[in-house]
Amino acid sequence: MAVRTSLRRFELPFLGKAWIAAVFAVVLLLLGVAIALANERAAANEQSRRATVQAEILAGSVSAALAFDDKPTAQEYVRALHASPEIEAAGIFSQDGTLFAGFATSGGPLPSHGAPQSPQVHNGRLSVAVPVVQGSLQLGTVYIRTIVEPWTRRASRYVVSGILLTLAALLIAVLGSAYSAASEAYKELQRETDARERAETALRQAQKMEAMGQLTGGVAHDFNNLLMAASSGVELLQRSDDPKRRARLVLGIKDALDRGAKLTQQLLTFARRTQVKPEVIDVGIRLSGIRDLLDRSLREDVHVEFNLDEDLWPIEVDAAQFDIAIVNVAVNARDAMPKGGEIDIEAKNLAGALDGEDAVEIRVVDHGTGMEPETVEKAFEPFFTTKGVGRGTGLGLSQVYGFARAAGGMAHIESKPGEGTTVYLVLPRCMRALTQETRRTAAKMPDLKNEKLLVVEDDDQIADMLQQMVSELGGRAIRASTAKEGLQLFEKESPHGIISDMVMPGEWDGLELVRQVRRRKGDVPVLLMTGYSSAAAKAREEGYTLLEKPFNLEQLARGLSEVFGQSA
Amino acid sequence: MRGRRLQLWGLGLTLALAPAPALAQVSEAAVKAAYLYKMAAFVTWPPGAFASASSPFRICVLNRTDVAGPLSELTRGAQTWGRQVVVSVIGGGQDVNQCQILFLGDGRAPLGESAPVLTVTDRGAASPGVVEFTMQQSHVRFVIHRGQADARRLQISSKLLAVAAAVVP
Repeated sequence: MAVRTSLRRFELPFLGKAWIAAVFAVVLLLLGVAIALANERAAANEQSRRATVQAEILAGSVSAALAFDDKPTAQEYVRALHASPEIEAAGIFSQDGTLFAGFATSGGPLPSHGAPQSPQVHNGRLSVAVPVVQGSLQLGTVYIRTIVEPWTRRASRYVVSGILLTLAALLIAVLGSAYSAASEAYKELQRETDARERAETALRQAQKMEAMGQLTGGVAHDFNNLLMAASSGVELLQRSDDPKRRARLVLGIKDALDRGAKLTQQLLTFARRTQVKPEVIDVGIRLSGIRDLLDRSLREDVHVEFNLDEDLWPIEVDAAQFDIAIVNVAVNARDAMPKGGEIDIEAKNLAGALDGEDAVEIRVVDHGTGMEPETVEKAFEPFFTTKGVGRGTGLGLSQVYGFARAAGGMAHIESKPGEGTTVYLVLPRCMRALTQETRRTAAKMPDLKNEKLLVVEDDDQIADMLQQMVSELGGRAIRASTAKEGLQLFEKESPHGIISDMVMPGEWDGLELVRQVRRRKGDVPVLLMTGYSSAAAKAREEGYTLLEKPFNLEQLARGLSEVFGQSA
Repeated sequence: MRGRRLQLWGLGLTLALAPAPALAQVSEAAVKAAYLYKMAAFVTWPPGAFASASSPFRICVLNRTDVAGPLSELTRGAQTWGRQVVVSVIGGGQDVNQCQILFLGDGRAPLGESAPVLTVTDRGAASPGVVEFTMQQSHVRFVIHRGQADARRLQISSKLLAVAAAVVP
């Protein structure tokens, strides 16, 4: 946009039209011709004046000779004019019109009787006649005929300036038309740029809509499957008395529910995608963190092997996007190995790999079918997929590429048909310290030592489950179903800590509740829970520890140990 | 080129001289009459040469009716120096001091030594005037006596001096 405005500044609209330049050129030429004509007229006047002056001088000198009939003297005066090359003929006529003295070199003889009226131009010759007067006595007439310079010779004088003038006019015309063409091309370019911008916006929108559709479609399908698995598991559980079979069924149900939780997590992550939140992360810790996610996303016959260097440099990326990118690459690797196999995820430091800057390189290597070079070329393009209709969106690797570029790094693919594919993510090293949140403390089960915890949750089932989980961790739970009720219970029971939902019916939400509680007792451990990303962002802004729904026992334990650790 | 120009010059000269025989036919007296009138234009008279602002310009001819006739004819209605030209034929003993030009022929007239009068005489006159007619190759020419002109406070135009047959100091 800045480039466009600066280009626009150089646009001269009045020169933009070729015809204006042409008019300029024509006006210049006309001006030149007018000046030449004016010069020509001035030159003619000058010549006439000169001839008249010469005739007057002769008339003045010859008066006595004419008066007293002294022909030799008169002839002498006339002969003096003979030296002038432009004077062709000169004559002195007496008052009765007879020729007294004179000469004619070329262009015909002198008029035999009487001088013509002056001045006149005839046959390229200028004739002037002036009277010979002494006092009040008119004695005769002096006649002079001069050669007017031929127009060809006069024109030759104008040739050089004429050529210059024509060249200038041509230059103006050419420049004008060139500028006009350039400005036309510029407008065309602008139109194309605008069109491309619109197309790109439309593509991004389509990309998002497509991904959204794919994700929700896929999630609904998966949910359906796992709900069926869970409900049939529960049904079988009710009918079975065999403890071993029941344990296996419970495991199956839990697995299905875990997968549901993970799917919801993905949806939430995706919903957050719009706001890019860069944070400084440790690649090793982050990759270890998604190991479970990967194991679950991939098939049983696909094994993920991590090979991460120690002391990897930190990088600054949107952590959620990073996770998605790795999963996207891994899913592609899985699909490239229909018969199963091993995916190697490797990470190492590369000094000066990104235009001389340090970077961390993450490689995802599979030993699958590989790709043809043409496929590799298009792999990062949005909507490009080799998977069957309804199976691939063509947006996975496009997200990987977009993520890498947005993070200031790059992504590329090496592949050979039959040998497998390696996807490289090279991300710039960050010199800042790790963001606090990304340090994952090892999950350890806290011993609540029969401590009393206030659970504020409007949903009875979740509240019931939460109370059981708290009991499992060795604590005691008291429950309130609204924020206000929670505050009353807090004042009455003085619990050791609070676990509260954020979005609840009633005047206050969970955030307001914990604010009120903190006002009464500043160091009480508080753990907030929510399934809404906007609420989560608000809680994080105010520095509260947050559990994203759904969560499992381990995650609850981690959250509790964090808040109790802080307040301890 | 030069040869051609000379040839053409010769042609011009021939043309220029062609009307000469016509002039030769004019009588000597008529030529002198014309010269007398024309001379007025080449001479300047001193202030006080005229009795009044309205005084005419007098050309006096002593006893020579052959000259006075053509002269009267020539100057009928004519003016010079802004004055009416009057031709008078005078006899001896008449006062000629009021004349501006006085043609004496070969005669004499009682005239003051310093009177501002342009005296014109024929050759052979007992005492020549300011202008003295002479004949050269059957052409009427004249000699100018500058001493006399100066004595009479008359200014003679250099143009007139240039065409004089001789100028006597």
